Amino acid sequence: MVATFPSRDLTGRLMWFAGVPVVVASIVVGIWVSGQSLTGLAWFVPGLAALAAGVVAFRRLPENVAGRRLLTFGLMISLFNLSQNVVLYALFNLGPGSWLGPANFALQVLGLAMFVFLLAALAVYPDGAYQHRYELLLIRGFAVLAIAVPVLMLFARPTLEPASIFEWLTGSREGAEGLFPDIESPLHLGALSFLRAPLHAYLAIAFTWIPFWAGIVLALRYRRFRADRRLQVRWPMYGGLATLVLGIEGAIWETAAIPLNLSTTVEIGAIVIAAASLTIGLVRPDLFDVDRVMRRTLVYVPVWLLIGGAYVGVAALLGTAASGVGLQVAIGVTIVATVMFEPARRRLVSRAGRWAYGESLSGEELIRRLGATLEHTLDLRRLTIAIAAIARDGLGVGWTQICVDGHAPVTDGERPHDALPAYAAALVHAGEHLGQIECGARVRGRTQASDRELFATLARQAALAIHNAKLAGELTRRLEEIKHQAEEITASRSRIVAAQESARRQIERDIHDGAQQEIVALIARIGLAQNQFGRDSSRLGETLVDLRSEARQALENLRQLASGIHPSVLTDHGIVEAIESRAARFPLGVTIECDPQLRNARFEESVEGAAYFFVCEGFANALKHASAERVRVCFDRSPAELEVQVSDDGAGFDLDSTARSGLAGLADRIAALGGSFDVRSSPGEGTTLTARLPIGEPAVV
Amino acid sequence: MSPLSSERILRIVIADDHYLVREGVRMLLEDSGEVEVLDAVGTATELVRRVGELHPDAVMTDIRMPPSHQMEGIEAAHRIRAAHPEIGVVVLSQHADESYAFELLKDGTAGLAYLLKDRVGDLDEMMGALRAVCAGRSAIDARVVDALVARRARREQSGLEDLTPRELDVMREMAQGKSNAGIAAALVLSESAIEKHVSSIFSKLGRPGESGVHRRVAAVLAFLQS
Repeated sequence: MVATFPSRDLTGRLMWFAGVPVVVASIVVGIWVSGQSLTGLAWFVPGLAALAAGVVAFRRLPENVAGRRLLTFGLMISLFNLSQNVVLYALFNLGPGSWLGPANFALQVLGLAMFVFLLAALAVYPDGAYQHRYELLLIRGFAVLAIAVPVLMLFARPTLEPASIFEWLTGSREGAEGLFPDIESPLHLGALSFLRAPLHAYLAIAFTWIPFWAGIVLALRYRRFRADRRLQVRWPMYGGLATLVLGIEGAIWETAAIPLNLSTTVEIGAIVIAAASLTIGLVRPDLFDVDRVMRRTLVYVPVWLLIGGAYVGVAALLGTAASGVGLQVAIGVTIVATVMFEPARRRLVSRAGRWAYGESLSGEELIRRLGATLEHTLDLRRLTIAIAAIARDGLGVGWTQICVDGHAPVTDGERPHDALPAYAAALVHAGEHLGQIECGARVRGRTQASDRELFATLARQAALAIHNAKLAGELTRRLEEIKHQAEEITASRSRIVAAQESARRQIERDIHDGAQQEIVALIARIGLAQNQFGRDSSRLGETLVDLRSEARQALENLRQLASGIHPSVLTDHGIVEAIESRAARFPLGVTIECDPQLRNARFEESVEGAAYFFVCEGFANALKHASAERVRVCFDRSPAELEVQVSDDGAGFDLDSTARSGLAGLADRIAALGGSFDVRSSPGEGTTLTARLPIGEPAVV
Repeated sequence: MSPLSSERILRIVIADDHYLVREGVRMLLEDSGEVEVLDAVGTATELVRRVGELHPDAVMTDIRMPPSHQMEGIEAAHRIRAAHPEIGVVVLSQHADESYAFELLKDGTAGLAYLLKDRVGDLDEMMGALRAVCAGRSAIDARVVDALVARRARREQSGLEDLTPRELDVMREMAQGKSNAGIAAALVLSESAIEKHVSSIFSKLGRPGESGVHRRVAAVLAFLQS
């Protein structure tokens, strides 16, 4: 017996072509024999099912070893079935002969070997590769036994052991011995007679035992698969469950508790289901949503019954064992056993639940996943979407909806139009209500007690996460604001520098074109006086008079220039008097309103300067652009600031369409002192400029 | 040949945007009896127009005038010299900064003078400049020459460090457009001594000695400028 299957196409092809006539023959012969036995006809069904499954798998995935082994399994069953029927037919119609010994031996080997192939198929299911060495060793072990046990039996018994079919046919071992003629074993050794009982026991359970191990191997493989691969294995897992039923039923049949015909039907059904599920899992794992097709409860309940039954059985067994001592002791032992095994039962039941319903995420796992998301997401909306998805996954519910206050709700999954939430919780962090989280009912299985707690944990964590995201958002906004302010400050600073530069240029030009030229003129005039000196004294006197008046004019002009740069009256007498002095030389009518106390108040030099030039700019504005007749200046003071207002009754202007460099310069100068500046104007309404300058404690002189 | 030797009355046009300066200069020059002021105008545009109409012997103009208050006077000087090579131009400037002098003299020095406005009280200085430009020579204010020398001297290997103090004096006078005789008179030295200094200066500066006075000015300026 080989444990590995040759990977050449030809082999598979040959088996396919071989399988078809075998099946056909087994049907024909089965019908023939069916007059004498139900079994003869019935066994062709699983053979046909397994063969068909193997053929489909092999056709679709010729490179996959699992498919080929499945095909081999199907072929073996059919062959086994055919052989059984041929042997029965021959025995019934021709009578026993010398052929019966070898045929009986062949049936024994074939029966064991076909299940080894089932094991071999499952051990590499569904990807065609072994996961562990024990899988291969297990296959080899059973393969050796498939040959060794029938051979050893020849040594252990003086007569031949009838093949299983005779036992099935007659319903008992004794019946089989009666049906099967006594044929001398050619190899009998009296020394090996002790092997007879264990060998027979193995033959009796092998048909259950090998599929059972195949199921265990597949279950162990399933545990290590990733989610996508698990989906593929899930089909055969249900098939495996069917195999399990087969095993249990086989064990029960051994005790002859159920009629043989029913037992055979169940076995056959199990093999059909197993074969079909293996093929579907291999070829089209997505054929149906297997989890939807099989209500998980259907899986869970039998397993639960099995565990419960075993539990009761163990307790009862111990009680029965003790019953020889006395009734009281037996009851006591039963109670103790019940209590002792209770934790084990609970553990097993919870395992079965998890196996059936899938891993429900623990709170820790959920929080770990949330944490991983938080690391990468500070954007509130993306975070909300991620939390909703994780919550839906983690809780296993149909939909989750998170509504953060002031934002559109985010839903993961399809929330039916009028669906009420199974759970709802407010998202609250540190007493602040952030929003609401709701979720629908579990998609699978029943609601578990831990769900509510898990949901509450999730809501708390989500609230923290959303709180953090909001903080981050707020921080980003603030930073933007600060950046904007910094840009504004830079711009304002450069405007101030430009304004200073322009003011310096203006002063230079004023001096160049004014005072300097006047002095040049004085020099020329002095030159003239020098020429006239002694030559024309009457004209010299005239020249000197002009010279003096020109010199005075030059002085006056210089004085005005200086006061334009920084008026001495401002330095000496404060803002109000400086404005009054300026107003006296201003061509328009000026009203000054001011609290008498404010008249003598003095402020920081920078504040007084800013206020003075603010009013001067207001005057210039009224004069140049507004064609105003009257200007009103108001001074007012609060403990924190000095308010200066200049309003005119002129034409006004449209604030939006007019960008006035003079006003921008004023705004900058006032902003540099931490003050504020405000223009109110509209065409025909006049203009009001207001400046508020922060002041420290005013010094009263 | 002295710049003041000619007895001919010079016919000139004055341009300055400042009324008092304009009138002061006019009165001073007319009072000397050596100058007839044909017109006194306030802008460079007007100046160029009036020069075309009046054909004066010379022009005396401010640099900074309306409309842009930049270098209208210098631009007008160039235009007048280009259109009427026989008309000399004296530019009066408030700027002791030598870059304005360079701007004026960049294309040639003949018939151009650059005087600081401080000189308007000094009739001799003004008449000297006017007569020089009328004769096709040039003149540069001594203070501007000083500024040029100082700037050049600050540079390494300027060549000026090889000149003796006396030669520097001579070069300064030379740059103002004076003849050897004029320099001799100003420095109270013999003309032959001046001749020796001049040839020494040119050999030290690595420039050929030139006979024409304005060419000597040009050579000195070119050196100072480079």
